[in-house]
Amino acid sequence: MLFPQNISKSGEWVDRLFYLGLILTSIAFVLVIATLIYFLIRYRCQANQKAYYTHGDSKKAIGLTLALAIIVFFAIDINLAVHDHFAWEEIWGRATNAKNPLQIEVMPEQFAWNIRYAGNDGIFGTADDVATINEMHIPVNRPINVALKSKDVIHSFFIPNFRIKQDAVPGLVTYLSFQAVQTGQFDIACAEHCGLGHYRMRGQLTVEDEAAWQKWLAEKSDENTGTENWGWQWEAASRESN
Amino acid sequence: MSQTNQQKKSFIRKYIFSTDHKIIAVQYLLTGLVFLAFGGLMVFIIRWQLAYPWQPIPVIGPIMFGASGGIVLPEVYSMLFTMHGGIMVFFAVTPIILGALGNFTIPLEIGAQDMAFPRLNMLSYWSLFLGSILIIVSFFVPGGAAGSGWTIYAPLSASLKTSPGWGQDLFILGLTFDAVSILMGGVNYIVTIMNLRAPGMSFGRMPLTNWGLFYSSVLNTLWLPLVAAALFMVLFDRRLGTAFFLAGPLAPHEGGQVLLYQHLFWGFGHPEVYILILPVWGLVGDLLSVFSRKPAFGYKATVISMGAIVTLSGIVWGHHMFTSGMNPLVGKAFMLLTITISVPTAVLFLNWLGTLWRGSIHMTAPMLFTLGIVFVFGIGGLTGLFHAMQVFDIYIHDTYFVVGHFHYTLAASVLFGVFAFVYFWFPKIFGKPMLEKIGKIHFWLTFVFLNCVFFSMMRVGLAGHMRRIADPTAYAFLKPIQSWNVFMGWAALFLVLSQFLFFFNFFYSLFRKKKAIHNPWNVCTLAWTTTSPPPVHNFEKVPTVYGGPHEYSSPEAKDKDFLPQSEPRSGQTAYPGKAAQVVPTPKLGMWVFLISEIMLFAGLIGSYIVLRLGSYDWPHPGEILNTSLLGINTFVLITSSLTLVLGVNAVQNRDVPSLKKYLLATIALGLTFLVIKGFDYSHMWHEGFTITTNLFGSCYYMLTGFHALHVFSGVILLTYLWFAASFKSVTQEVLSGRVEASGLYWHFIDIVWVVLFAILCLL
Ligand code: HEM
Ligand SMILES: [Cu+2]
Ligand SMILES: [Cu+2]
Repeated sequence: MLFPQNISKSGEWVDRLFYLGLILTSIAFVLVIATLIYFLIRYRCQANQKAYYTHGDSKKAIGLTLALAIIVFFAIDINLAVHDHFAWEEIWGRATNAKNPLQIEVMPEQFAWNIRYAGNDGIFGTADDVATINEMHIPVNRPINVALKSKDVIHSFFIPNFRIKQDAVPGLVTYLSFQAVQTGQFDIACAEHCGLGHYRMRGQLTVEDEAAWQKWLAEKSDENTGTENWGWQWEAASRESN
Repeated sequence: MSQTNQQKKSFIRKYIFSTDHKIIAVQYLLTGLVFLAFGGLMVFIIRWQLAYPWQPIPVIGPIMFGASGGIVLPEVYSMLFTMHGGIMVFFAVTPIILGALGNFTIPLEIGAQDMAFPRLNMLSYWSLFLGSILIIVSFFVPGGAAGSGWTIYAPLSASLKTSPGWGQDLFILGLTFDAVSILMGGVNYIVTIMNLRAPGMSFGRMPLTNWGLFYSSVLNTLWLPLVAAALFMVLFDRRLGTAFFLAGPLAPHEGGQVLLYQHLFWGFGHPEVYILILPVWGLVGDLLSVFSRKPAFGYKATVISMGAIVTLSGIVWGHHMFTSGMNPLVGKAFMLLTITISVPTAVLFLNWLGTLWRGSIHMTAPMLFTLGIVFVFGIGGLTGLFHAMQVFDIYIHDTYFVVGHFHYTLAASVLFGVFAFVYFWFPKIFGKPMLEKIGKIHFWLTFVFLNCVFFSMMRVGLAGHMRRIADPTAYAFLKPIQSWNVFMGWAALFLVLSQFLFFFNFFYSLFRKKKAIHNPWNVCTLAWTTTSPPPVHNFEKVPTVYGGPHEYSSPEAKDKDFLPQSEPRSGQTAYPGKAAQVVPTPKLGMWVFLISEIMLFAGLIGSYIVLRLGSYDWPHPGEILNTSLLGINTFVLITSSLTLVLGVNAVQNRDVPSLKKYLLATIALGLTFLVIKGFDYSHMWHEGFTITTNLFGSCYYMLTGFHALHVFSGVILLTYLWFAASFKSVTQEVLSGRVEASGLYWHFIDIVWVVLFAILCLL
């Protein structure tokens, strides 16, 4: 189909939004172009046929134009905006009401993803933190909250299979939530031009079941990778965002 | 008959440093076409790299990238898409749509003999020329051209650590000269349209193209200074060690705001799309009417809708920043504002269809391109809705879906506008007809290949294809769509090759003997009543206007199917008189210019306020600034305003000696201000408060520095007036107009100072 495989709990909302938009705009486009082509054929210049002299600025003509425009506005634009609102409620609502979410910190730099887990104690900035580069493991079916902040320029954390994207900005913490419904290996891409290595700023996302993930985390925890404190005040900030 | 009144001028005066709007239009046109070819070539290389990553570019690769064996290196790839975008927008289509179309048609269509300020017009072209030289030079400096995207996003662009070399600086300087050129053009267009219309040419009788050009000049006047302010701050960050847009480890000190740049950029960036498309919409309205031999349907509704879009375009910029971390509720507001643009846009489309309805349609080459615009803008406008939906935009933002969308709106529509303009106006500009058949073939080839490329862009965008990446094959999720990239590579090749037809047609028609008749398309407007090409001052006699611009198939026309605007109507004795000049020309020009200046300072001061409010530990201004010295300076400047008011009074009473006295006093006060300023700077610098000390230092020196620069230009202006007052050749009336206009400028500078004094010392 048109999109990459969807592995997100709310990803289909995004896809559905697109298909709705596609149907509505296609109808509008086909109507306009069909009328256009019909007129071009029907009113092609012929000998002794004069054009109909009208300025189309009678009250009736203007009223009709405006009425049509407003009908189009409600049928397409407002329709899409309302559906967008529902999709947003679903995605945002899921994120804010998530029970027991897994918190992850991501700090991109030119041209790699620094990724960080709180470790077994669930608190960032302690000795058992786990830090990896370009390698993100998440458990399936568990809500994930990611906090992002860039080390240098703007990057954008993009996982096409989740239909999500969030800029990582220096000097600002931004947030992102998702939940996988399927296991497998997927790409993390950088979507904001960040320099000549932008195209190869690729991370690996591994979605696995809870047990495998726990095992991975424990192994990593023993390697003592995450002793550095990024000092993001994640808890305070996430409370604020709620 | 046309050449008789033309003075014998040297070649250089006539064709190079000409003040004739028609020659300047041709200069713009040729410059734009050169850059169009240049940008087109780059795009072929981009597409070929995406189709066959890291393989040598055939034929041109070894010539252009000999050092790497014809292969595009990643840093070169960044330069290519950056300069393609920058060049196409600012040096190809802007010069053609605003520079050439604007310059050529505005005076001719409203019945003026030239622009309101012909010398400013010449200057405007040469400013663009200087800018283009800088752009070309930037490719050859060490490190190469700019590579941070045409959007020049900070911090990537704003730090020498991430964008080393002079390419980025030259790009910004080149854009600055281009912006100055556009603003000078805007002053001319607005004032010419307001003040120089022929008798009877009311606003409601102007061709739609002129309306479009008028609107886009308004948008430029308002929003271009905003991006200029942002780019100046980027330059400061790069070269002077400030940190307006830097944060985190890259920043030398605290407090910079990265996203502020994006707000400033898109504050201009979104209107920019309309700046380019509004004249094209106008052209569509006019040409559909000409070639359907029918009045433009709903002229008034079209003009009002375009005005509504102009208004809305200034308040929707946030839709470019849905993923930047903005508050979702703010995002929702921007979504709603954005979709309301659909209503006026739908009115435009309906009116275009209405124009065709029951017409007598002639499928000429310019008509084909016009219909092409309706088609591609239809796609462009409708795909915009997908971007307006916040949730969906988060997925497609910064993917090729955006690139496809904006190429339909910006590239395809405006490019077709360029072609429609050239095919339609060529006989009038050069007095030679173009080859119709080749024009039509050119249309069909361009139409087909262009859609092949741009539609496929949206397809790969849906698959998640990021923009600005040099190699899509590294990603697993992009493997299935790589064949689309190959397809686009070939389609782009054929698209570029098809353009040779256009260039052949252009130059062949230009140099062949065959002459065009005065009105080959049977158009009603004034431009087509004069000769092709028109004489130096356009009209033998200034025409009088009796009717609207689209009187095709009018029952009143006897022997033909159209009624020229300058032809008296039966039973019509009086015509609406010449529109009164509400504001005299020099003053109006100054007002338009001052609006730009206000927006420039609004950008700078607004940034200061945002930075100030976002900072936790702002130093206490009273402890750093020498407030009493600044107070004295305020007093000096206010006094200088008073002396200038007396000067204006003097010149109105025709008292030149007093005028000179007061001018001298004002100049002296201005210089005093600058000297005190210099003293203040050097003192503080010695105390250790420099532009890099902290954010406050950066803001202080930037704001007062820009202001001092304005005082300095004001002093030069007044000095010039002092001399002009002694010249016999300057009439009293002209002198008075200039003094009054300069007075406005001087008072403006004073007001800015008072505002700066207040906010710097008190906030
Ligand atoms: C009037 C004509 C055109 C204009 C105004 C225009 C404008 C732009 C702009 C503003 C960009 C963005 C540059 C950036 O991301 O920094 C761009 C990128 C691009 N354009 Fe064009 N363009 C034009 C014609 C074309 C044509 C004819 C093609 C294809 C045959 C094309 C293909 C591309 C491609 C492939 C990119 C790179 C996108 C990316 O990597 O993000 N453009 N163009
Ligand atoms: Cu990146
Ligand atoms: Cu926009």
